[in-house]
Amino acid sequence: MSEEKTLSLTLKVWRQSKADAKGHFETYKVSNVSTGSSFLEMLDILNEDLVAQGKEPIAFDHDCREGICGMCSMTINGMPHGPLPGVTTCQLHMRNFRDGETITIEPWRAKPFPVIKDLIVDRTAFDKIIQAGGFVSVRTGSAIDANIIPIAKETADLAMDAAECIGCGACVAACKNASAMLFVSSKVTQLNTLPQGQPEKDRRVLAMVKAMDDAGFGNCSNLGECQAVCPKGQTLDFIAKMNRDYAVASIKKLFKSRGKSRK
Amino acid sequence: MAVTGLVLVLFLLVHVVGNLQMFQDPSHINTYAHLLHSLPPVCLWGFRAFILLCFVVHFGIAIKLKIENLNARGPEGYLTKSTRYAAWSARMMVISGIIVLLFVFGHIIHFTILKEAGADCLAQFKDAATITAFGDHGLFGYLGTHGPAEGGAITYKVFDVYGMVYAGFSCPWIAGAYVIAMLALLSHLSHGAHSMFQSIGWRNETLRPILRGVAVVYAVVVCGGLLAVPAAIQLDQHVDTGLFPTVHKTACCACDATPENNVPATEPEVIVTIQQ
Repeated sequence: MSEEKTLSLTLKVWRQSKADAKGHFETYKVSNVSTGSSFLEMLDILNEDLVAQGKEPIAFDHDCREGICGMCSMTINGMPHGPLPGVTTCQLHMRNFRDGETITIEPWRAKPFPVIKDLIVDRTAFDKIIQAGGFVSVRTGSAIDANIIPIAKETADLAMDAAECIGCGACVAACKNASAMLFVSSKVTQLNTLPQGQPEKDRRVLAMVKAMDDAGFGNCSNLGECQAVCPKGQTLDFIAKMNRDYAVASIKKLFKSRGKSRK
Repeated sequence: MAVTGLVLVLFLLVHVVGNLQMFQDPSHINTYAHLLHSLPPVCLWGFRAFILLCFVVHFGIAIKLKIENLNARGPEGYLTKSTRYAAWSARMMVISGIIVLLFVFGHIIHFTILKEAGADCLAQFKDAATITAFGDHGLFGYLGTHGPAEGGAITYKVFDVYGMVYAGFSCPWIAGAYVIAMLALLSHLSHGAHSMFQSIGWRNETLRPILRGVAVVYAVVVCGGLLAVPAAIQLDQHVDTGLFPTVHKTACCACDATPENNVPATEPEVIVTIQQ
C-alpha cells in the first residue's frame, strides 16, 4: 500500500440561512483531506469542524451516497456534480482535485429550484411534472406475470435506458437556459415506449410539457450541455423522441373527433 | 423556430445559386433578375412577404424564448461558469443572429429599397443592360409584355444588376461588412441547420453526428458561395482576376474610397454584350 495522500483546499461555499434570506459566499480552509474520501465526506469533515467551533454547518442534500437516489445537488467549479463525467457528487472522490486548489460550491441555479438553505434546493417542480403525467393509470396491485405482455428487447432496453434518470436536476443546473427537457423527456420516453404507456401517450407528453413550462423552466436550444453533465448518461435522443411525440400529439389533438357535445 | 429556420435555410440555397451567376456572363444574372421581377406581382410579393414573415416569426420567437430563458435561471446566477460540451457556435446563436439581422436590414436597403425607390446613385444602372430572351419569355412568359411575342430571340433593356453588384462590392467597407455578416451566418447555420432537426424530433443518436456534419458542410458551402462574390470583386480591384471581363469599374454611391470612382457616372455603359 502506498502512503495515502492528503490535500489542503480552499472552499468558497454559498451560504444562505433560509429561502428568503440573502445569500453570500464564505471561504473555508480544509486541510488533511484524504484523496480517498468522497466530496460529501470532505464536507462532513468540514461540518464537524464548524460544529466544534460552534458555527452553523453547511446544509446539503444527500441520501444513498451510492449514486442512485438523485439527492445530492451541488455545482462544483461551475459544473453540476463536479469535474468527473458520469458520476453524482457523492461518488466524486477527492483524488480528482489538486492540492491547494480553490473549489467553488454553489447550489443548482434555476428559478423553479429555489434555494431552501445553503446548497439545498427545492425540487418540487420535478414532482409536479411527474404528477402531470409520469404514471400509468392502470391496475396498481401486485406485479403481473412477467412476459404476459410481450415487449421487444429493443423497446425494453430503450425504456430501461430512459428510466435510468434519477431526477437529480443536474441537467437543469447545467443548461444555460435552465431547461428541464432532459429530465422530462427521460420520463416521457420511459412510459411512452412501453405498451402499458400507450393509451395515455399523447395526453402524457402534452401534460408533462405543460407542467414543465408552467413551472418556469427555460427552453431547449439543443446545446447538449445537459447530456454532458448527466450522471446517468441520458442523451439528447430522449429529447428528440419527446419532441416527436409532442408534435404528433399536438396534431392529433387538433384533428381529434369531438363526438357529440363533449369538447 | 425550427420550421421558420428551415424555410430561411432553404431560401439561402436559392439565393447563393442566384448569386454565383455573377461569375458568368452579365446576361445570366440580368436575365435571372429580370425573370424574377417579371413574376406575377402576387407571386413576387407573396414570396417576399412569406420570407419576411418567416424572418419576423423566427426573430420574434427568439426574443420570446430568450426572455423566458433568462428568467428561468432565477435571481442568482453562477459565480463560476463552465462548459463541458456545448459548441461555441451554439452558445453564440443570439449574437450571430443579431449580426445577421442587422446585416439583412442593410442588405435590403442596399440592393432592394434603394433600387426600387429609384435612388440617384443607382440610376445609372436602369435599363443599362440588354438581355436576350425567347419570345415566350421562358417559363415565366405568362404576360409577354416586353415586345413581340411571336417567337425568336428578342432583346430587352433591363436593370443592370451585374453592374450594380460589382459597383456595390467594389467598396471595401461594404464588402468588409458582408464578410463579417457571412462569418456570423456561418456560425449561426452551423448550429441552426442541425438543431432544427432535433426541435422537430427528426433526430436520434445515430443521426446526430451525421446531421451536425451536414450542417457544417452546408454552412461552409452557402457562406462560401455568398462570400465568393464580394471577395472576388474586392480582389478584382487590386489584381486583374479576369473574372469580370466585361465590367466597367463604376462609382459606388456609399463610398468614395476606391480610385476607380473617378469615372463619371454619366459615361455610357459598355456592359451590354448582346446588342439589339
